[in-house]
Amino acid sequence: MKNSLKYLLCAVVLLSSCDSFLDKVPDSRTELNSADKVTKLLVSAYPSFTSILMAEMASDNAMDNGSKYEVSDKLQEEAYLWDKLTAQSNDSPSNLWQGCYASVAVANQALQAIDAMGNSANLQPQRGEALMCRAWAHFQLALIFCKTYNPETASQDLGLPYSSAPETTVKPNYKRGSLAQLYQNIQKDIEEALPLIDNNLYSVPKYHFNRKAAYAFAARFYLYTQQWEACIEAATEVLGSNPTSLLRNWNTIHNMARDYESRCNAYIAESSAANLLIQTAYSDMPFWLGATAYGARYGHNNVNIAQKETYFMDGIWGNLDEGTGLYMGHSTWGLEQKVCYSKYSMYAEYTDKVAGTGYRRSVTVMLSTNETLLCRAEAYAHLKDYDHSIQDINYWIQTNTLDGKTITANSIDNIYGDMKYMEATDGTPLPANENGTPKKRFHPVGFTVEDGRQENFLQCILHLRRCETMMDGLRWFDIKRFGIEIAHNRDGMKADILHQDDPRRVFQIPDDVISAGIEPNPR
Amino acid sequence: MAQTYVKGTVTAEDNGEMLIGATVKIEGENVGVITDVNGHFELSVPKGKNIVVSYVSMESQVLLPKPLMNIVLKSNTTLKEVVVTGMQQMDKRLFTGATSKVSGANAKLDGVADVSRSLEGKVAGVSVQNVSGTFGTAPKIRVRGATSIYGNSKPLWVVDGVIMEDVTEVSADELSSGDAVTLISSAIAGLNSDDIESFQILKDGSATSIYGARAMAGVIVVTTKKGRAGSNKISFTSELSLRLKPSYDDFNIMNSQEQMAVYKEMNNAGLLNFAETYRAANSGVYGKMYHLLNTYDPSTGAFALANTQSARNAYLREAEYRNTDWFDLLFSNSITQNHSISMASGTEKAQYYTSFSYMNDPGWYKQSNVQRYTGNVNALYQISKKLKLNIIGNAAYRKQRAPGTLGQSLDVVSGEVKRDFDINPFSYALNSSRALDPDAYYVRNYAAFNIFNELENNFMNFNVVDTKIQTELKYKPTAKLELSTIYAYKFSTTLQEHEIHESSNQALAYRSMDDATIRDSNPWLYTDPDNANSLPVSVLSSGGFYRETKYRMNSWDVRATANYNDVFNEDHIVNFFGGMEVNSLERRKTFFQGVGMQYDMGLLASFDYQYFKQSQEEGTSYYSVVDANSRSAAFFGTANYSYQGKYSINGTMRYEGTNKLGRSRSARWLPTWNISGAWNAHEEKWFGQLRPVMSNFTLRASYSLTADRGPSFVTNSLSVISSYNPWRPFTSATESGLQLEDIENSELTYEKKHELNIGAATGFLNNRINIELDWYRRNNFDLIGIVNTTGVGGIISKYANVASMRSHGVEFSISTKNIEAKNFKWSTDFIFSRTKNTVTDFDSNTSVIEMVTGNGFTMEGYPVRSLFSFDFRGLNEDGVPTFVNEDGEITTSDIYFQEREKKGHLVYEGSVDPTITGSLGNVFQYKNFKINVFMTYSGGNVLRLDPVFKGTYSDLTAMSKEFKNRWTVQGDEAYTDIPVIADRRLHANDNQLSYAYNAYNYSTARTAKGDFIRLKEISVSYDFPKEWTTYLKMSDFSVKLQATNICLLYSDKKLNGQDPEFYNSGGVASPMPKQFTLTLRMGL
Repeated sequence: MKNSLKYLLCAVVLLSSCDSFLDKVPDSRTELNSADKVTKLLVSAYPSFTSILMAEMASDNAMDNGSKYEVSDKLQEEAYLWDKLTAQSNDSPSNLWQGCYASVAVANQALQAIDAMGNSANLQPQRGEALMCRAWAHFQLALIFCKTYNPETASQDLGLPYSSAPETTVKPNYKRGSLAQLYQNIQKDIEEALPLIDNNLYSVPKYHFNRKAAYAFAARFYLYTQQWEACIEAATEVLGSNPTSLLRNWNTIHNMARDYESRCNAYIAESSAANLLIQTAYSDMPFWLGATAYGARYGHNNVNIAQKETYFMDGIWGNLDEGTGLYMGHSTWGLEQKVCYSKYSMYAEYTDKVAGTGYRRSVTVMLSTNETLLCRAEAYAHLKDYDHSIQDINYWIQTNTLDGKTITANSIDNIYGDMKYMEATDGTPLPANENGTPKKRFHPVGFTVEDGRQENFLQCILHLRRCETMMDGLRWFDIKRFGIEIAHNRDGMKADILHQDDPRRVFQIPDDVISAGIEPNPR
Repeated sequence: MAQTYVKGTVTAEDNGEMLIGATVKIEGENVGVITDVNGHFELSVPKGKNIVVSYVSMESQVLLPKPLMNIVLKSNTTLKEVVVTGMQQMDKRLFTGATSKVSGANAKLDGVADVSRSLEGKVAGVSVQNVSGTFGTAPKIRVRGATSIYGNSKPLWVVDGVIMEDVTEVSADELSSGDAVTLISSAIAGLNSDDIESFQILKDGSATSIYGARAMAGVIVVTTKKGRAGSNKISFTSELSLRLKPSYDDFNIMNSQEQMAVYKEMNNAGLLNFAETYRAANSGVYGKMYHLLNTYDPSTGAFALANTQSARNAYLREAEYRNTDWFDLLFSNSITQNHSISMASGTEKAQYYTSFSYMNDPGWYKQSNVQRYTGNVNALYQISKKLKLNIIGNAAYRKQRAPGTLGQSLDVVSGEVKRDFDINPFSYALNSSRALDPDAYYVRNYAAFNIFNELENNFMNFNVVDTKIQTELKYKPTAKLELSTIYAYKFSTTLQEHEIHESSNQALAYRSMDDATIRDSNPWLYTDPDNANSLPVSVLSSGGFYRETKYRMNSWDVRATANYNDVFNEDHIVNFFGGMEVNSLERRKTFFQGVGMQYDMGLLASFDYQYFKQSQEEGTSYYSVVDANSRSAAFFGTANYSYQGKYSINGTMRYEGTNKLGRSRSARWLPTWNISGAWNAHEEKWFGQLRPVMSNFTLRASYSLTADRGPSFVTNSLSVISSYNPWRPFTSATESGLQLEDIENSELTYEKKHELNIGAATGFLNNRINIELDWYRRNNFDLIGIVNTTGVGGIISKYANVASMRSHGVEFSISTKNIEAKNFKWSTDFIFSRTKNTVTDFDSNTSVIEMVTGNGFTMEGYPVRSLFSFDFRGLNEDGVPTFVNEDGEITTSDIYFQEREKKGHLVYEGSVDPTITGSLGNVFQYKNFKINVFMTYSGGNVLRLDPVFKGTYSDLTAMSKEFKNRWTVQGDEAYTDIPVIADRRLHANDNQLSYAYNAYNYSTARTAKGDFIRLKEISVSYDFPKEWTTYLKMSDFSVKLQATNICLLYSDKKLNGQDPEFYNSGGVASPMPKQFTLTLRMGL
């Protein structure tokens, strides 16, 4: 009996020492126990998926070229038809959902580690980046899966779960909450983070929330939430008073050899002052939208869209055929059915080059000075500060056109005031739409637009934004913000119209997520 | 009182084996001992008392004590074995679990060097599927079927009490992939079959519960040979095996004439025109002709082939008559040799067994030679009466060649399973046109290709070292108590070198740019993104590749146990066994790719910086190091009680912890247990009336919980953070970072299994007929499955312990001694087992393509590996196959292979794993001749036929004879299911036409039943009579001639020569050959 007691005692001692023996990690994983590791972790706090393909296809930047062109990508078609997105691909809603929340999880993990290390002063730059990433990922999701922000209805509109701590159990419950709560949380994170951001933290600053990128995000956020003054203030942090030297140097690209991939490489280069935040993603977007022979069924058609509504048309920027006009219109590639300018090309990441296995990659400029500039121009226009607005418009026009012309408020009034509205009609025929113009009726959500100069300015700015943000997916959010009604022609069927209160302005959240208990968007 | 101190041994009469666990008691008293592993006992007996020696299934003897006794017991039944659990050796009376024992000699399959294959058909409930016959590849072994959905359901191998681990983890599904790693998937490839004393297969929870948290999929305990006191023997075994080349007679491949007729038709349809075929990535007879037409020889002033109709016809006619026999050219009948020599010797004080073996396989096909050396030492010293030391050392070295191969990949969009640069000779012979000239170079990957040149210049070398040393100390302070510690250290290392020489097609493809068209389409060339307008260049301007993968494993095990046996009042037999064990395993895998290796220049490296620039831009690393550590600690105890050997009950408990689930202290510990009982009716007094008609009867029942750690990729009891290099487009933007590989799952736990087993064993007619029957029902729960969550934590589909499955089965074996005359004996063994499993709780998000290819997958309500098919609905009016797609429409190519939600259109074909397995063996013995006829059978499963249909065929493709019946003109769709060879018009109408052909490969038209009966072995052996051997100064000498894998007596006709066990996946996979083996055995 004595012996067995002794053995029991031994076993207890062994058991506790066993626990430390078993603490050895099973593989090369690491633990977040230093400031440097938190910095390194934040490298992965940027979403690896984008909403570009679905947003671009749902917008008026695409049309149906007819059934003689092949549907190469199911998702592309579903997004164009405003159907439920069921296809599994890099660009699917479930990847976006998961990709953004995965970034949030990384940010939360970093914040948890920062708190565990005492939230000391030397960890504040990391804290700033983590908060910024958390806000950014939630914002990306809100734009796609929620209604556009309307201060009057936001407290009733559906939001999304705001994740603020790492998940530890298999299937916890979340509620969507209201859109107001979601935007409050995003704004709180942004505003807490802005003063903490420190460019010295980054070895490759353009792939992180450097100071300018952070303010550019804030400017966009404030614009989308109708906080015009705050938008101007944040944008000015990015642009200063004269941003010319910070804007995209199209002239250099224009003088480059006429090679699509080289020009795309120049567009996304970190060395370009215009690029504030560059993101790599698993995406087929450049494959379907870029200069390839595939995906021609739905696209940015040359004759029907580019020449009537975007960068090929005679516009405020001049005339392409006369050797003026937009640089981007002079640097185009692709099929007639899906013309594009030299912006994003397809990359490959090989896991094993010899075996030829790997992933399709896109590299996109998520925040740029050019776009921030147009945010500020728009905010000024909302405040009816047309002098400042025209100044910003001119900065953009001068760096984006061959002859660098200067335009006046009157010329905006003349051109956009006289322009016919392009109505969304269900008779939109194939082929060319004779009545295509870039001017579409506004039904603004949460703000008002006066007829006359204010509308003319906003029509103009939205037109410039549409060209600037081609292949960025941002046009879709402008359509949502301004309640623009668009029509999508469909070969063999009547065109489909997206009315101002159409529930399809909000993409449905992924099926798996709905079945796990998240409230779906109304249909 | 005067005492006699008795020392002695107890042996069995019929085979002279030492009896372990025999009871030696003083008559009429409660004092006794149990014999040890060597049948020894020591006992002090008071004067005037007799001793009683008893053993299960043996006739007890009452004897007068003498100082030295050699007691021989006679059997009263055939159930005389002890059960070796790997930790303990137990008296059968006390054992309550389902287990089977096969002696090494019975299991041995001469000429098959990998011992794990020899268990096929030998044990009820154990299925062995030779998914590849290449040496080193483990067969797919399942004990009572699958136990997990994502885990690998592989049984645990225990050799001499020590758990054997694989040098790298290869899942059960990966075994059939043909990838290079499968060659090192067998943990016991270094064991020499002549060294094996026995296999003990532990099947139910009662038997395996001592290994509780690792034993969910069963345990195979291997005991190696030991020396014996008083015997001295040198044994020599020599095996010579001859393998038959595969023959086109067994497969339905077109001969060259038939093949050329098809090509001609393709050419007429414009599919082999000059412009495209000349520059095609892959081309054969026609491409070669076009190249010859364009090759000008200035010295003769003529083209290599004149561009005239007659010259062309002559060239094509030559091809038509060629009838190349690729099997004959790529395979050989060379003889495999396996020699082993062993010495066993011993005295009372010390016994030893040593062996050495050498296996040389010159290769069944080119570049497949293997040499293996094994050495084995087992020494046992009786240090004192109470202390015993056992040291075992094994070492094995293997050198192996294999054709160069890359990993297999699945194109999920088009549904094609592919392997770039595949040169597996077996699949090459099956898939290459017989019209090709074996000496000529054709075009593959835009570069010159000849299979013999390629095999010569593109191959892999494996160097595998496995070593194990173990030492066991046993201390027996009293007769009843034994304390033991065992310490084992294992080290294994594998060096895998893939040599891609400069003249191989794989290297040449990197610099093939004969003209601008080829330069622009060759995917192996590089265009520098930093250099605007640059043309594609080669990053491998000279040399080839040297790809090196190293696997290293170090592990140690320590175990301490105590065993207590006692008998009270003669009636109450008790046994307690308990202990603890700790093990640690470290694995490291390194990969390195040397670029620009110039093999012909004395192995000089000559690399291009652009190669590394490209690698960085494309996110490829040129070397990698991966570490894995596995540690576990366990405490276990088992208690047995038996009343008079009639009624036994057993309880076992194990408490195990592992680091595998991460650093969470709550998830890592798991208790497992078992409770079981047995009734030995033949020990009852009344049973005497039943003899001799019924000679014994045992009834067993057990209920248990066992577990396993789940699939190796689920380890996130805490969040998993690992380092990575994020992909960036330019070298200027690279940085390294950490990523959240997996988010925390604080609820993670082991996969578990409840099992109820009821078994009976009975013998009739003096054990001339023995029957064993087991029935079980298993409830597997907490299995790793997929659960859809909100994704707010960062992952929508999580792996968690949410799935469950049920299985049940029966096992039946009968062995009969049909005739037992003086000179003639005939015995029969029949084994049958059946197992069925159903996944009861599983949320599948598996895509359609994974459900229809390879091993298939599962859905709720189906077996764990189920094969599904596209619903083939005949050919359309163009001869293109049609199917029902995910939307319920009939279509040709509008099939979405990545569909995850709508799977109702798939047709369930059946389980991929056999549900019925077994064997029938007959042994005839006439005087010194012995004839063994052994058949195995398996069935209840389905198979996928080889995917031979494609949207486009090149003039390299070999077609099966089925193509003769293909659709050619409208109206044929009423008579045939073989799709048309698609012409340009069809491709122009539908540029996803290849989807239809890939879907056809995975349709209801392309499955077969897996049922087969195989004549596994016929052998004749002859033991030379004693008089002769004595004259030759030998103790014994025998000769055996054996034919293995002779033929399939039954299999589905649709298979057309495809082996139902074998997965023809290319790479390093090859089927089990038909072979003849001559074995010589000598004992000195």
